[in-house]
Amino acid sequence: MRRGLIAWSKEQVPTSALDARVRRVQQALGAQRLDALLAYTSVARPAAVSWLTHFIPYWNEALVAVLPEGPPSLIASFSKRMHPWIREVSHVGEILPAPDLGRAAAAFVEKRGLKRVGVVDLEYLPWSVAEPIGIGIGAELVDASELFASLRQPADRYENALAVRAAQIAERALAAIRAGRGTPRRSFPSLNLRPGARARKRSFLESRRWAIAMRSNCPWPTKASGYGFAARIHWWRKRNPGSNPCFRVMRRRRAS
Amino acid sequence: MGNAGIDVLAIAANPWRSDYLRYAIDVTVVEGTAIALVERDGGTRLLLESPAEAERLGGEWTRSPPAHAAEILGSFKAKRIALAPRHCLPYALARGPHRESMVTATAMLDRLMLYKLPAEAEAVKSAAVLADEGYRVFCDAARVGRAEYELVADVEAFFRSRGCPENFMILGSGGVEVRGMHPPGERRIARGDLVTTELTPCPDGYYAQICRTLVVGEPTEAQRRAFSVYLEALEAGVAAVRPGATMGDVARAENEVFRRRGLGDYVSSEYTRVRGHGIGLYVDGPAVLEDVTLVLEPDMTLIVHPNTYHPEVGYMVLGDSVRVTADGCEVLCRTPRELICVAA
Repeated sequence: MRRGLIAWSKEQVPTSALDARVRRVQQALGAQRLDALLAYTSVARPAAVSWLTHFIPYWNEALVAVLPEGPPSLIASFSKRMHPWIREVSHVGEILPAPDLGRAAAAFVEKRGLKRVGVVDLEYLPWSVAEPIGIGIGAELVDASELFASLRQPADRYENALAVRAAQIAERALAAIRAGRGTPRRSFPSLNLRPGARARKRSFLESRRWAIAMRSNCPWPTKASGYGFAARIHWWRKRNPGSNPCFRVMRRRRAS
Repeated sequence: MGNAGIDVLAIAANPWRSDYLRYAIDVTVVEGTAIALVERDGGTRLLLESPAEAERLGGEWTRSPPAHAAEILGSFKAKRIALAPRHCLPYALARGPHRESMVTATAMLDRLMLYKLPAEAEAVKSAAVLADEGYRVFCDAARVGRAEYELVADVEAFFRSRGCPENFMILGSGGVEVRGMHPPGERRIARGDLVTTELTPCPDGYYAQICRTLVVGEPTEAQRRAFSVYLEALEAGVAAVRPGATMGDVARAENEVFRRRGLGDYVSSEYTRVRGHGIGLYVDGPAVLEDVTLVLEPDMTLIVHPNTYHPEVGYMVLGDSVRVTADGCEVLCRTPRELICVAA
């Protein structure tokens, strides 16, 4: 689940721990001749920003900028209405709204006269963010991944404590699965399925089996889940009840 | 690709934006970055950052898919190469010689993904059935004393038990102080709360969304009065959905209801993000806003939701997924458009 509880326990991660992490980065900036460090975050790649600020996006994207002094700034593609929530769950200085993250980041860099900017995971920085900064205003983007990885070591006691807690939860979950107490067996008695829903589900699952079988003749080596393809097969089967969907493919091949 | 003069199309994806990859080769990544190199003659290579994903999807594991993809594209001397989508392409691939192709290739895929096959629209319809069922689980879960995250846990457990691997869900609970929805927190549901949610299950690769507001206990007169505005706005928005109308027309129809009731300030960006949006392979398609000129065509799917803040009662939501038909639209959600009451 990517959108479960998002809360900030200041006992688990106190502001002093986050401040110390940011200070580690700020101390390293000078040695690396960097004017700032940028870290990108999205649902797909949230770790660096979460470590620095405790901010985890539930959707959309944002950048954290660490300058040699002061708290980190968050440039975020979230509406202003979400800023109070961001403040509740994270430890950042200024929050800048960014309908277009790349342009807002470029404006931030330009306004502060930053010339040489370190980027965590530069290799994976989306082009829509990198282009306005690197090409648009000509700032030099430097890969700071190794620097950042070295700054994260050794992990502080708060991070270690969270890792222990996560391991305990995982152990309990595995034990529950072994004991046959997993959620898949849970029933929802109060939910009366609409008439025919189970039959439709069964029919779709059958279409999915057809899709997987037909995928074995796919021109590239894939084990794709085939949901979209299954949906197309399902639609065809509904209009051609009793027919073998493979014939449709064979007819097409003959025609071509 | 043939019409656009493209021989090889490199498509990037990650767990947040897998929609383009899904459209092209029916693959959704759940971890790390993926790059697919799709050749016009059908040959495809799928490069994956995660070894587990490489095993699951039968692709090639590589430490750096963007760098490896750039290397492979470099070996295609005589071929016309394009990259997409711009907002997802990693720096290591995009900075190379093919970056000029990005804007047109992204626009090409956007256009293709906008116009759905009947089968795709059917998949959205199936997702809407699940959204309705999920909302009933949500209503059962919303009880005094339960934490927001417990409500979401019940709904997520339900969707997983129905084989649905993905659901975008946010909620809000409280009174006039609530100005939007967010991921679940630790707040506990109290008597008299308005509890808002948008559920967006994605059972078969296609999302459908439902937005509803419930009251814990008996609704006040102010809550009933406020709800009637959202109901009228939703009905006006849905009535505006037809081939030839624009997204802007739909937003205007919704917003006019608020303006007529003296609530025009509350349809601005200070109180609301969008008045609906496209829905399908991605959870948040083109926006329903007054200045959007995208013309609706049959089998497009979108959600119409006049969600916004109401000064008397707080944030309220109400929205249904719809499918554009030849002469109007089909409403895909079946949950009654009511201010739902649950026991206090």
